Order: sequence, then C-alpha cells, then structure tokens
Amino acid sequence: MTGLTVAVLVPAGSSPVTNRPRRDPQGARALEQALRLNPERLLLIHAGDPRNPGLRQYLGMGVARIDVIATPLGCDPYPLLLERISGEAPDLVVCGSVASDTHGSGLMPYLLAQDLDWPILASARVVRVEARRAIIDQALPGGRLRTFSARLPAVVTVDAGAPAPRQVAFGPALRGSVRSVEALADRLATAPAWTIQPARRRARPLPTADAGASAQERLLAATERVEKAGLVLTGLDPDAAAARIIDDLTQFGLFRTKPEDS
Amino acid sequence: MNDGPRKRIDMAARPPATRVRPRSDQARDPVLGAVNPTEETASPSGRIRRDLRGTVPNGSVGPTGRVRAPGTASASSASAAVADNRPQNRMMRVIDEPAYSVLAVLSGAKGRLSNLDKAALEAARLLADQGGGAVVAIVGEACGREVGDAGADRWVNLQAFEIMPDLASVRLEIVWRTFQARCAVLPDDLDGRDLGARLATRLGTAFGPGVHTLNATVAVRSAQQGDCDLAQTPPGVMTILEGAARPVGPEQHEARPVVVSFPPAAAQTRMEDLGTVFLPADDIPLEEASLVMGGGAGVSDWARFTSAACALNAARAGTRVVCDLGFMPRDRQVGASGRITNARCYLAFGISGALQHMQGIETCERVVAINSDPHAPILKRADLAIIADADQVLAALDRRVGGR
Repeated sequence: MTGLTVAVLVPAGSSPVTNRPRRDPQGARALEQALRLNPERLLLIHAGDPRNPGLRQYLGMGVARIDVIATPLGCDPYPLLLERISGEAPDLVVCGSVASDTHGSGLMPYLLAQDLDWPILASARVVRVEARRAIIDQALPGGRLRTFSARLPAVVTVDAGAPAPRQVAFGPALRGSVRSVEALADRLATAPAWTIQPARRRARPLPTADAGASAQERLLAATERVEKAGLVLTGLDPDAAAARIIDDLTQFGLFRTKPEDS
Repeated sequence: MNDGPRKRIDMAARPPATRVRPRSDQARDPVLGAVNPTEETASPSGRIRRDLRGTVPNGSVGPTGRVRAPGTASASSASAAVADNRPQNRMMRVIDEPAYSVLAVLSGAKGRLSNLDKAALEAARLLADQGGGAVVAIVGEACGREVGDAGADRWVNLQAFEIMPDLASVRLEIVWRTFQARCAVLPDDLDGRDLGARLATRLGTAFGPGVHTLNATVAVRSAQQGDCDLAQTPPGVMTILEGAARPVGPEQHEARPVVVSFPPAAAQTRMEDLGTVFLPADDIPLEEASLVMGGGAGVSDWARFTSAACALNAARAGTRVVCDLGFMPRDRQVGASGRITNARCYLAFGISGALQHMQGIETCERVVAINSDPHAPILKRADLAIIADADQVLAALDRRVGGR
C-alpha cells in the first residue's frame, strides 16, 4: 500500500517444550498481518537482547532488518520505545496482545496509545487499511465476528485467533540484519511486583448450592448425579424420525434460530 | 428452641372471653409470619407465651396458622411458594459509611448476570469485606435488582460493555473518582480485558488479567502460556475468571442506586463499530458451537451428512473410527483423544457410544441418538433415542430441510 508505514513491535519467545528461543506466536501473527498489508515501509522493533537467535526467525518471514533496543534483563525499555515510535512516526503500530516471555499483562500497547494519543483497536484477527482507516475483525465466542475501525494513526493488537503466520525461511533469516539501535544504560533492575512460581493445577470448581444453603444441601449439590431417563422411540419410519428430530430442535430453540438468540 | 425448658401454651388458662379471634387467624400473613413476632405475652395465669410463628427462618406458615418446618411444605401450597427462599427473608446488610469502594464492572448481557459477572461480584465482595468496604456494581438497568442478591451495595446504571470501549473507560474513570475506589474487577473475556487495560492505563494502576485465584492478600494469574503462576497483592484493576473467589454469603445486599453524571461532551469515541456478523457453525471452533452433529460408523453417505449439517447450521464432528478411515478430518474428532464439545444439543448419527467418545460429549446439555442397534451404549446417555437406520434418517432430514 503506498505511503503506509507500519511499525511492528515483537517480543522474544521460547518453545514451551524445549525452551529454545523462537519467534513469539502472537508477535509472529502481528508481523504476518503487517506483511499482508503490503506497506511501503515496515519497521520491526524489539526491546531485549540483540544476540537472541530467536529474532532471526522474524527476519525469516521476509523482513530485511530488525531494530533492537538493547535492554538488560528486568529493566523497563518503555520510555525508549515511546521515543523511537514518536521519532519514526508510523501510520500504524501492530503488536501481539500479550507477550509470552514476560508478565503478559498486555498493557504496553495501551500505554503507547495513551502517550501517543492514538486510538487503539485490540484483539484483532484480521487487520485491513482502507482510506486512511484501520479496520479490524474480532473473533468473539459463539462464532461472532465484530468489526471496528478507527482513523490512522492507530495502535492495533493482534491476538492468538489470527491466521497462522508464514513459515520461517532459513536463507532470509541468516541474511537479514539485527541492528542494535540504542542501549538502555545499565540501571538497577526494578524488583518485579509479581512473584513467579511454576503453575499448579487448579482445583476443578465443584458445583455449589446457593449461598446460605445448609451443609446437606451443599454436599448434595457437589456430589449428586442426576440419572435421567431418556426417551427411546422405535418403529418410526425415516420421515417420521426426521420430523421428530426437527420438532425436538425447535422445542429446544436450536432449529434455524438466528445465532444472536442463542 | 434453645431458650431453656419448653414453654407450653396453656389452653385451659385462657378464658374464652378474651379469645376474640380464632387462633389460626393470628398468623395470617404468610410472609411476615405472626403479626407480633416473638412478642412475649402473659397468659392470665402468669405463664409467658411466646409466639414463634415469625421466628422460624425459611419456614412457612400454612393456611391454618400452623408453622411448617423448612422443606416439609408442599409445593402446591400457595403460602409455601410465597414464603420459601424469598430474598426478603434473608438478612439485609446495609453499609452506610464504607471505608473504601470496590468497583465491579459487569456486562449484564441479555438482561441477566452471566457466570463471569457473578464471579466478578464474588471477587469484589471478597475484597470489600476485608476492610469494611462497599461493592459498587456498574451494570445496566435490567440487572439492577439482581445485583443486590449477588452482593452489591451500590449500583450505577452504566452499560460499560455496550458503548465504545474508549468512551466506557472515560466514564469508568469518573465513577472511580466519584467513589474513590480502591480497585476494580471485571469479568475475564475479550471485552473485559480490553476495558480493564484501558481503565488501568487511564488510572495508572497495575493490571492483572485472568486472575484465577483470589484471596485477601494474593491474586494469582497464569502467564507464559500457562506455565507459570504470578502472585501479587491484588492490583488496582483485575479481570476475574470463574471460581476465583468463594461464593457470596447468604446476606442480602442493598444495591442502592447512585446516579453519576457524565459530562456529555467530555469525550468522543474515536472507534467505529461496523457491525457483527455470525459465522456458520461449521466455521467456528467446535468447542463453541451450540448444535453439533456427530457421525459414527453407522453413517455411509457422508455427502448427505454434510448437506444436512449445513442446512441445520450444525457443526460437524466424528468419532475416532470415522476419522481414522478418513471420512472426517482429525480436528473434528470428538472424544477422549479428540475434542470436547460443550454443545447445547448433540445429534449422534450411527454412533455406538464407546466410553472414550462419551467423554467428549459429557458436558453436552442434550444428546439425540439415531442408531439401528437398540442395545447401543449411547442410548443410556441419550435424552432422545430413535432406533432407525442413520443413513435413511439423514436422507429424510436432508429432504425436509435441505435446499431451503
């Protein structure tokens, strides 16, 4: 698209099975959406370790260069990131909705949008740009597809429901350049507010009785299995059986109803 | 009755002249019980009489004035239906001077509180009860009465999820400052996380999406694709998953409506909603479809199966046998080693009902089975079973609904 400058912010990722560095799944989807926009200028920006081999996987998707803000572990690169984006003045900033390598709150795009005073469109599946407006589709549960649009410049986050990113090609991955653009001065890493521990399996929530129920009622609610007797029909000819099924679905409200009624 | 030796009502001691009304009329009001609950009167002989009709909790009073113990009232009696389990029977807890406020932003879609909304209210109640705070529920008008039962002390009429998120976050900030809130909880879905993040950035507080365990001191959520748990003191804005906090206690809460004025031209939205479309059931993830049609080894005409499923707007699924043979793609396999459906109705054509397949349809509300074998195990699970040839029934179904 002529005249479109897109900045893509990508985090580092690692494989959940082997812990090897690789492209982040949502970051890759964000880059995929940006590449599909066919922009005139694509800026790929990462804040982290320039020597991370996983960054080359982003280059292998067909990008010539990635700019890295060298950040020691635990430091916050956000001010430098904001400065960089304001300096480059892209039309669209695309990123994943949560990063998998950090605390994963997904707050950074919102901070960016607030500080730049741009609108933000979150959890996009597909991103389009038409007539200086960014148009996104969101996949909502139950098969609903919602469309939002906002004027450029805007921030867009892409979530895990977006189409799968293209494969990584080894040649371009090697040939692309990783450029370290600024270095965060060595600062004391701030103590994280969250403590990290390995995940424990959550107890399955038991069905509970209404609040204020007696102990017996609560026990029955949690343990009772209602045995229902189904209806068995024999000797129906196929047409009658089909009619019965349709009647049943109609009674249950699932026959040809509009999806928004369900 | 734990007030010492049982006080007996001495019938003989009461002179007939003072009996102005029959005894049964004393407890005429089925809701309030006795007209003078727990009033102690002295009989002419000096014995103390206590009318217990008004004091039996959750009990009901029958038409003759006899108090029925809870659980023994017959369902057909009108007074039982009126008195039992009415919210007014629960104690009302009024908080007039809260130390702080906790906002609960609820979606209230379709005019009722969803499970996630109730989870958010439970979490807000937990955070408020630590220090004598009040829960402020922010939901539309249709749910205004319901939030009191679910634990809200105040109610602000604002449909935060029906207006544009950027406008909603501006209004929520106004509500936050009005109540001087300490934290805000939202339900954990796509819109809840979006609104929560916007609110957190406006307020400058920490944000914790997807909290799955919450108690007074610690909020825990998962990160790094579920590998890690992050634990922290409850942040300013959180989105809550179901089952994170314990259920709200038996007390009724006030849900006092509070009017918050939003300056009309303070914020304009920069987003535009271009509408919502509904995808056909076959194109959405199998776990989200509400009507699923499953085909098993008893189906041989798969073209008919597909066209019938398309006509009914049902998502197609198959058993392991069918996927092994290649009639259905592997990502449509339902069962222990496949996917789990949460459908409202599952139509099982030619499926025998092996245990592993049943594990995939455990949470389905209704199962309709069409099988030619009257002893198939699926008949035990099916709510409606039709003993007929699956292919023929599919053909008939296709004739009836297909092509429209």
